[in-house]
Amino acid sequence: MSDDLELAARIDAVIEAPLYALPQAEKAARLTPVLDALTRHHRAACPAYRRLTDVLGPGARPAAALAEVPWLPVGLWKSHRLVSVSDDQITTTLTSSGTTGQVPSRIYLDRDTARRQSRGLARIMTHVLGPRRIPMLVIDHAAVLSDRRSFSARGAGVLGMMTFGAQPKFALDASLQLDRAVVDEFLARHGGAPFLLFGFTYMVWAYFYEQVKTAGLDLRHGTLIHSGGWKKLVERQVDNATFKAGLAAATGLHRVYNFYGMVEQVGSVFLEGDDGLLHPPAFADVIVRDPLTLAPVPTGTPGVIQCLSALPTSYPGHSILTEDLGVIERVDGGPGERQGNALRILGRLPRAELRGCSDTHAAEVAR
Amino acid sequence: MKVLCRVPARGEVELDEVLAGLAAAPPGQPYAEDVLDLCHQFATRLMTDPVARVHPELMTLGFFMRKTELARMRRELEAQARPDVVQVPAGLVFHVPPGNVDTIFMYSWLLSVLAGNTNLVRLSSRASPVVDHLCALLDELLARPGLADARARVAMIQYGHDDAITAACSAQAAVRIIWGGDATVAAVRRAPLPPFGRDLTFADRWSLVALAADGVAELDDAGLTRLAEQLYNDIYWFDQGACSSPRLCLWVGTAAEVASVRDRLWTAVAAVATARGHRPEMAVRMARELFVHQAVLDGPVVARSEFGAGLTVLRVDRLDGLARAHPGGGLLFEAVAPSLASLDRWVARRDQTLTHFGFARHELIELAQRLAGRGIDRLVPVGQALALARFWDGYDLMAQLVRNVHVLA
Repeated sequence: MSDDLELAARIDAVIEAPLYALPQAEKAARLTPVLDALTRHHRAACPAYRRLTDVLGPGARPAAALAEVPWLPVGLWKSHRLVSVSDDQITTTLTSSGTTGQVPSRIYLDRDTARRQSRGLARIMTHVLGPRRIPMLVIDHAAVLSDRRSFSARGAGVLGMMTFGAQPKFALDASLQLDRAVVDEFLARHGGAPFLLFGFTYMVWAYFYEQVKTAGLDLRHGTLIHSGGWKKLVERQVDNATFKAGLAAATGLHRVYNFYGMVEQVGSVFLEGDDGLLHPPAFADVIVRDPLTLAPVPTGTPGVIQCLSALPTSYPGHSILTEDLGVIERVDGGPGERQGNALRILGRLPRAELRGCSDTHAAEVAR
Repeated sequence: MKVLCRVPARGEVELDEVLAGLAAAPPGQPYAEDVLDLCHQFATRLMTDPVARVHPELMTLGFFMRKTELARMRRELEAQARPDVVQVPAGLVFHVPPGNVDTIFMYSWLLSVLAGNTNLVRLSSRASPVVDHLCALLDELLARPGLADARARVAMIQYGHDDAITAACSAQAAVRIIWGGDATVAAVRRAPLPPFGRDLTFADRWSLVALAADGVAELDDAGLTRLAEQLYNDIYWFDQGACSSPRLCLWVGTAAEVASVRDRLWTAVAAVATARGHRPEMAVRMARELFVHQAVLDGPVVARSEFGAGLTVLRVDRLDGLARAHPGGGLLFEAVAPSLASLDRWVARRDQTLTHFGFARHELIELAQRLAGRGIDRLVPVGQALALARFWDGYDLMAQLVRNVHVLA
């Protein structure tokens, strides 16, 4: 028990550390022992994790550097129940939305982990929103929150962000049409002072921007926070620059911050800075690995993204190898800029061509 | 219903016309000269084909179709002939090959055309360049003089998933050959055959290799490299996704014997992979990584070794509990056993091919006898895992593709 308390105190210390001000070397020096303690915690508390680290390494050997912290592939949460607390301590189960027909990830939270996720997210969001709760317009429809017992990733994201806004309103109706009456009333009441807009990247573009681009809305006092992946927008040839330029031209909105996060590591999102790059907070970090050798690659070299987070104690998700490609563009900005790793996301791993005797006809049927 | 007729190359045609043309074609004879000649010409072209140089599976196909090879098969068949049995073609054979092993449709057609059958071959709407190439080559050869009858007896048609077309083709088939695994078999079987028709089905299968540790230990460097090349071909063709691609390596010997040779062998296999320019796709590599973690949680995996980016070996301490899941793309389970008898309990119907190195013929025969039909339909030397042959999945394909007319005078 005292070990758990000590671990909790060490996690809280990194959550409260300066978010983006620590140079990478100092940040890594603080974070490594915490993540290493998390590895020990999950080895003791989660038999599946113990078995994985015993067979695949590193066993009980401590990590001397961030890159030595063992990782689990993100897909493992789709196929296996990975949990480090007893069932009666689980308060919330998060599920990934995933595409239709796919098995969702299932993430088990206890009170401590959920609390840390909220605190972590608050630290990050207040960095750009300020400490006061400001009026919030959700770029989604209200039904996204309907099932509170087992949240979809979108619902959990919206609910998590609602903590940072006051008097939230939903900009879309049930059929995802712009609810002009709600939006107009919101802007009439709050549009002259700072307010928060939040939505999923694709929803913001496809359902909001497309409907407001000629509507003459004035969003110049707004701050848009958005997340959820670029895949569908890349198909429409919309990148981050196009996204921002489009919104700025149509609505005057110029404080637009993307973040990269996943249901497997809620709370330790990488928020976009003024440099257009994504920055892990003090209690999280990123490593980019060669997709074939899985060895860390130098700064500037693209590879597969590994996400580290000091938050989760209820499930062994403190180090996750994602299926996303990215590149660390820069380590440690200049004076006054964000320090540490600055990441650009390059998209999902390309799908493999299936080969082999089986599957073909069945796969066509499925398509 | 329109289909794209690739051989003979006729473009978009009505399926009814294709079926009527096949029904009107004059029947062939087993091992007729015109067909042997066609195959010989096809083989000759493949052996000197620049495309085949970069697709070794085409070389294998060409080798299989050489005149000497086919003449050997004919002699085998003649040696089994009985004076009171006349072998005649089965009739119209409808082939449903897998869309992603490029050459199986040719083997399927070949064995059937040798039996004198009329053949209707379904090609996936996503035909690969290799399939396109083979179709063009066959079409060109069939246009030669003297092959009008052989040309009338084949139609290779391309269509996407379309139950109505599959049903219309099935309704005419004396034999339907379904490759492509469990799901394809189930899907195609929904279309009824005529009362006299029958199915040859190729379900999902799983395969393994057995190596005698002492035999491997005795190899000099050249011998080890040769063995590594054979294993490379068996494992890596079709990204280890063929039914006969080995997925488990059973070492037969003592733990000490195996420890002294396994690193040397897998390093040599990885070196062959590097020399042949093998690089797994990123997604294949990452899928393997996920699978490794799942396998550790689900099975008796006790250790993992990596040999370059292309080969992961997962040691299991027993076969019991080893599920037959596999991601393809360069992963082997590895077990050590005192003898082949350790397979007796584990082998199941799903298991198809045991490639082997270092065993005496009687050991293999005895294994097959002990298994007594519970599984493993082929035991072939390393290097031949993917060499499709007359005996496959427990069938004598040549016997399945003819009718035996009993004549008592």
